[in-house]
Amino acid sequence: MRAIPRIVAVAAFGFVLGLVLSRLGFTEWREVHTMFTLGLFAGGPSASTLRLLLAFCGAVAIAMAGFAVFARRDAVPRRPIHKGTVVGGLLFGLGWGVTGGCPSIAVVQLGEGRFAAGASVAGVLIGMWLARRVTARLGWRAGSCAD
Amino acid sequence: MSGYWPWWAGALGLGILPIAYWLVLRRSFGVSGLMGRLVSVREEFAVLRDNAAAPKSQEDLEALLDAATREQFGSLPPGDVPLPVAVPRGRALGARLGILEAAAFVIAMAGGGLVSRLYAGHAPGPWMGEAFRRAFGSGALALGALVLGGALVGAGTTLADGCSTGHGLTGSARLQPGSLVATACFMAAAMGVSLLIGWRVGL
Repeated sequence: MRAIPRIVAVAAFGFVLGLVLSRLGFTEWREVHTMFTLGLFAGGPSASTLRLLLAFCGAVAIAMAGFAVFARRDAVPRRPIHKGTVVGGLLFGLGWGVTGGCPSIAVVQLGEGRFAAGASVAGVLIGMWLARRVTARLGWRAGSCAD
Repeated sequence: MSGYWPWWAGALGLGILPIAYWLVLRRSFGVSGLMGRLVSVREEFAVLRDNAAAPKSQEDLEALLDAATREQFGSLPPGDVPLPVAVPRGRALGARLGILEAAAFVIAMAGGGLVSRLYAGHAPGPWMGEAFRRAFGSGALALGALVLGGALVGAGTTLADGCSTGHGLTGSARLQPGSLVATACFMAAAMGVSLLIGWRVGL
């Protein structure tokens, strides 16, 4: 893969992710909450209220099959449980519930023209900066194995 | 925006991403790690400077090693000394992506949202919709909630070392214990918040 500059390849992945998240409805605050509540406040669980959850679980299944076929012999980047796994996961979930945006969704919302998402993106960057300072002081490892 | 893609089309798109990303870039697909590059600007530019100063080819590297060996021992060892190098099976991890790649990724991701909006043909409005307004209003409180919630997202993904793509999608698909636990935690917490909002103000 030396033919395509890496920066172009990375940008292409970002573009596809943004387009797919937006066309699925992941950037819609209410749709995300319909997913989290399994459609409880939108007429109960159904193919339409569980749409995003189905898309996500389907994606995990497809990725799992793809890795099994195309990356069978490859080194697997390890993601062990560590001190920040549970606390970090819970804080992230609380924040996602409020803003309706994981790091990618917030950026895509901004791109769609939902300018309030600029506040979410700013918050994400502030949170990342603060957490790096705190974990460095505590001696925790963070941001070392994920891209 | 209405006219959503069916769930299976989205599953296909989101599912292919981490595999293609691995095959092309040999890195684990995850957005929070890339965005994290944008908040450590000084360190990232130090990495860029080091990379620029590093030897560009195998020959350059060997010449540097020879020079260092001569300086230390006065001469080079006779003949070629074979180094015991373990050859990894399959494809190994690729080079780390830096701040420039991260910036390109984030800008292109916003571009994907913009193209989606143009395709849909109507603007979504600057806020997060009616249900969000019922819960948080549309003034300073709402902006504060977004900044604070965003900060929780940023801090949480940094502590957990990944977000919905890195842990939820890629790590879960590779059955990594840290990813499965982190995914269960963020889904549970988000469901709790969501149920609370739905119960108090409706969704």
